[in-house]
Amino acid sequence: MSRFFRSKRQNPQENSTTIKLYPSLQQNITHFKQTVGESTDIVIRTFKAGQTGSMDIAVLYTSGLVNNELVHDFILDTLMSEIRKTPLDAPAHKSKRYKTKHIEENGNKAYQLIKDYAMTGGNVTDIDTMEKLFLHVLSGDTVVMLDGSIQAMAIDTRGWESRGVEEPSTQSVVRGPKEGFTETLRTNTALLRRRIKDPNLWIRSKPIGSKSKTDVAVVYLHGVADEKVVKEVYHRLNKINIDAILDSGYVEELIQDETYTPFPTVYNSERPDTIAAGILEGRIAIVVDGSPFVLLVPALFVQFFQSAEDYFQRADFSTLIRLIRYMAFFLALLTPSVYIALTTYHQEMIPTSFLVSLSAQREGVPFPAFVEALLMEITFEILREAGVRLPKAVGSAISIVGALVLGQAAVEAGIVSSAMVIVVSLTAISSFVSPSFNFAISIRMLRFGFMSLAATLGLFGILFGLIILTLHLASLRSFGVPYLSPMAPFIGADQKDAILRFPRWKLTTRPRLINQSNMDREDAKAPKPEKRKRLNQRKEQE
Amino acid sequence: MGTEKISAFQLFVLIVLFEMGSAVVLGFTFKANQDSWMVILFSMIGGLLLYLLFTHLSNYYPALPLTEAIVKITGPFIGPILAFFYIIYFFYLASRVLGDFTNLMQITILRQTPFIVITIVFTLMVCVASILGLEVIARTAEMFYPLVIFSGTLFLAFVYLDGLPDFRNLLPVLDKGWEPIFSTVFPQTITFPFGEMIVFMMFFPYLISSYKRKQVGVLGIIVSGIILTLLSITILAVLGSEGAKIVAIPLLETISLVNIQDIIQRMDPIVIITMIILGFIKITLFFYAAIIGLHGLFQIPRSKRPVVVISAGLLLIIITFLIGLEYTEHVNIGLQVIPYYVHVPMQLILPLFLVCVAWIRGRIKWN
Amino acid sequence: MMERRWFFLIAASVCLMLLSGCWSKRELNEIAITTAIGIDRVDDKYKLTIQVINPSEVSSKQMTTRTAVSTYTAVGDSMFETIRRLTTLTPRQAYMSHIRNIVFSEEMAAEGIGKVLDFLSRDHEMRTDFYLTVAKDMEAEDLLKVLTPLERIPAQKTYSSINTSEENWSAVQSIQISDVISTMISKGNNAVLTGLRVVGNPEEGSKLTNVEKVDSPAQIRVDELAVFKRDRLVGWLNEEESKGYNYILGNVKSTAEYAPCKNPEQGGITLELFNATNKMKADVKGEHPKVSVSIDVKAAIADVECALDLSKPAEVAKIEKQFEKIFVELMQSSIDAAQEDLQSDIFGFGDLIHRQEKHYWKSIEKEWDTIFPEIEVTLDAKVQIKRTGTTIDSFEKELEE
Repeated sequence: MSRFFRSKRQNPQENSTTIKLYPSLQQNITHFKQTVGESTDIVIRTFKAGQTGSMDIAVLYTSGLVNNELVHDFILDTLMSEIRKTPLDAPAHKSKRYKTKHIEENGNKAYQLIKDYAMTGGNVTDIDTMEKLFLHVLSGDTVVMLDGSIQAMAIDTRGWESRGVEEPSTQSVVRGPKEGFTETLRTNTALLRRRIKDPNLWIRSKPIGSKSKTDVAVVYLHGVADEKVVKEVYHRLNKINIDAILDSGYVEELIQDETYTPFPTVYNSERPDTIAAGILEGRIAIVVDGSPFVLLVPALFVQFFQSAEDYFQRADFSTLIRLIRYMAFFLALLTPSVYIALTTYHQEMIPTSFLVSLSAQREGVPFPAFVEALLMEITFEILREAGVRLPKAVGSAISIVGALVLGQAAVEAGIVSSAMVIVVSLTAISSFVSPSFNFAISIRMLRFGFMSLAATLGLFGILFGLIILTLHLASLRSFGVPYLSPMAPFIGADQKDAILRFPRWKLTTRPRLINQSNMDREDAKAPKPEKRKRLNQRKEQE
Repeated sequence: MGTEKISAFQLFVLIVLFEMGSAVVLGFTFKANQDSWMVILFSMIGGLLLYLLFTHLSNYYPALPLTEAIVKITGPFIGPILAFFYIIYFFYLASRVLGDFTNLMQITILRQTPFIVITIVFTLMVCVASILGLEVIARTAEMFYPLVIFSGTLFLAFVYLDGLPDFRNLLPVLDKGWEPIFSTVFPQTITFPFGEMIVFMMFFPYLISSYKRKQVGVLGIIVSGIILTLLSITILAVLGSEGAKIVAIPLLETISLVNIQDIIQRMDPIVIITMIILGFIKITLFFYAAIIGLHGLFQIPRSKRPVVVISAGLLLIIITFLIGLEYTEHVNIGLQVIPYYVHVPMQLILPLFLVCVAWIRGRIKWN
Repeated sequence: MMERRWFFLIAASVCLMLLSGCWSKRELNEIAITTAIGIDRVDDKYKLTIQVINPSEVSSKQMTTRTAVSTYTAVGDSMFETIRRLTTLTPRQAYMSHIRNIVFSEEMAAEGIGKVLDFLSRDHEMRTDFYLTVAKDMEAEDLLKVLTPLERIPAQKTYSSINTSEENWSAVQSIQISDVISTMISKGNNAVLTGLRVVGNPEEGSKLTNVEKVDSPAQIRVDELAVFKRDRLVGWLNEEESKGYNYILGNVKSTAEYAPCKNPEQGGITLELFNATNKMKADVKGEHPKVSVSIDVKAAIADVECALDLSKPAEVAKIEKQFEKIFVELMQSSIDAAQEDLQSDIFGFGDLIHRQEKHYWKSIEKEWDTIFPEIEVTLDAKVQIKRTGTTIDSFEKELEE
């Protein structure tokens, strides 16, 4: 474990209640049973081994969390049959008194013997305190304890039922890898390791949460990631003092720079390729056990407009798509408010024929445009929320009700104008474009603010909102990196992969503010396939 | 001065936006009729000289803002008084510009909305920006810079595509000789907007590479001067000098005439949006300069920033309300009284005096 | 953390403002979109007529028995007062930003339109992209009442008529307020406005039957120019003279010109102009200043009724010569009208001299109005026929044989 994790602050309880393992096996088992309240899922198998069969051995594991085959084939089998005849215990000719006297010495010797020569498990850890014993048993390791030994060994036999690697349900792509993270930390780190087979990919983990003991792993490319940011991440993780972490969302909320902002300053993704790409740029990934969403810091504004697919498709096409995403962002944010502002304050800015047709639609609508828009937007938000929570089979019914009954009927009843329905649907569709769901949420929230500003001060109100919003965005930082970079502060070199996406061979540098030491990626040359003529020439020469 | 730093590019952006600020609304004087565009060019040259004077002055104490440099130069007795004058000057300019823009909003898009409400909204933006600090202001300006340049280009493109400009309106050149040109150049246009650059002397200490301040400023003045000249020529060519004189906001009038095939028409928002952004930047810079001055002069810690900003903001609202309510009077004072009795002393005489004092003191020290 | 508290304070005050807000607000169904204003003079008072759109009629798909526009008329001492007085008649506030035309009656125009223009340019609710027109031989009020087929909004009809005929016929000129104001202020230039008139029976125009017939009994027509001196109407240019005026000023975008054949019984030749540029030059050497105007016309033959062999360059050159004479005559008629009858420098010859010879101009600036009728204008036209159409020979010739 990293030395960063060893700071005094984080484990106050552990320090105060540390209990060493007793030399006596019986005592240990009694203590263990008392503490877990004789929970039925914990298996404690005791048996005797050694030449005389006088050595007491206990095997502890939590059923369901371990791979049963591993436990049976490699641990129980080894201990109970193969080393049966090894002189683990004190020699038979020694007296009972001798045995009692030398039980500790004997036990430790036997422990070392088993660990060094007999244990066939891969990942074996020494345990010397009760706390570690609980941690290991409860996280799926199998613990072997010997009578007389003050140590116990924990063998990694984790193997619970888990979801396999499936296609991620969010951030789906047309072209690109279809693997997604799962709820298991090891699977997730393996997915990353499989993509970056570099010794400098450092993965360090520690349990966080006094009750949940959730494993949280920090993954980064040593030498590429900014050391200061890495330290900052460790520091913030160490400061977390919480009872349980049930999803990476907990971690995100506890380590983000600014709580009072509608914008996410921590990126999350279900896609190993996205996270791996981020790590390669020098960002730091935080993998939380039990959550398929891996966090990535520092997160910048532009990142939320980038999709993994941008890098798998042609550069020109990706640039166009990105521009469309920015457009959709503004449409989703501003369409209703601009509609309100134009129709209630600045009719002179609408072309005459359009104004006449808008005006005709509004004849007989009883509400002001603002109330009309609010009504429709809220209805839409309710529909959306209902659609997410409803069982899939009913979902389609809701969309029919929403689209047809509410939209059509409301227009026909003269409650809203049909232009408003168009505005709201445009807004809705645009808000789905953002590749990042949590960013879309912030747009949804801000939209209402902009609508009321537009209703009060028209275009001026919208501008007021936009200026305040920009000021706010400019003041945000994600782990020390200005949120709006590379636009503000403007960094010319990083523009290649911000709003635009340059061809791959142009993207030779890493983002400047993310990592300041190791800027250059491998120098990629522009592809220049040899001309047919030259190929022919070469053939002739040969 | 804290750890806030702005880059050379950010300074450039701030200068350009600042210069275009109220010039876009009121700075176009068409007193020199069809030769008004020359006025801007000549003022730009004068502005460059003034700016060189400012940077020269700042060379004596590069790490201090103007107000503190004054105290160093003129000593602890006169210094604080002069510094306080400058703080009041910046504050007054902030409220003048605020008054201009509030009036602009009232005559263009918010006709029934009370003056005070628009002032309050503007002040709110300015206060938020000032609390967040210069770094954030600079970044915000950097975000808006492309937008402003884009709308400027769009404006010119539309006007010329529609074939509105008639360059015969610019003839005859020098109809009444040079006299009207130079009488507008000095003191009016040279001090406003170019001489107002003195406010940047408050921000020089924040520059990362402070040796660049001269180049960046000169470049900024030239770029903004050229943009202003282009706009001025376009307006003159479209409206004619007489037409440009009588309309309240020539720029807005020009864009409202654009109608290309009934597709591109009613492009007023382009101008109005740009104006609000530019106004915001300009007011914020003046206001923030006054705030920095207050902090330096009275040694108020950075943590008290919000208190200072909010109280100054309230004062700003009140003063703007008092001076800006009468639009015509406001404009007249702005064009006739202020340049002679306020701008010239504050932008030319005092800096010259300071340079002299600093130079003499330097000589004495060396001997 | 301090900053956050202040931020909330600010946010709270914003919310307070929102609660009390909405000063300039106008819902779409609270405004009456005005498309045209007619200004008449009645006993030293203004009689204002506004043409208001009835939106649901304009954009409805079904035929209705209600008209697309309505007019309201009120009388008052000043423009603004009268507009406000109109609210005693209209159910909604008149909204002036979408005005397409301002129509002055002849009487009003003769008395001077300066004050009205001042109001129009001052009032910022009005955009300045409308056209200024004068109603010939009738009250502006009556003109606004004429309903138009095809284009349901009459003002829009007039607006597009002016545009289309400006592009394709070039007898009229669209005049916006910015054009008028600068020419009015200038000593060496005078304004013209587009003339509107109703052909047919104006009485019938305001009835729905006007748009129910194939051939509307009353139609609005744009083909003449109203000539002003300073801000007063002094007379009219007829269609020919208007065209000449536009040729002189180089306003012609495209039009058609007709000339008879050598043998007039055969018919004539029609040219389609696609480009006409002008050059004006002033000469101040003599006692009176001289102005020379030359135009350069590029055209195509659109229609030939004579027996001509167009494949021969000589024949084409002959046609060119013939048309050059016609153009000079057209322009001359316009110059004559301006110099003799109207005595108003609508061509901006004064400004031309000002631009070219600013020192000389200063000496004559004050007497320009008396000098203008005396100045000598030399006219010159050059015609180039670029295309002779898709048929080379006229088959009229074949028919003859």
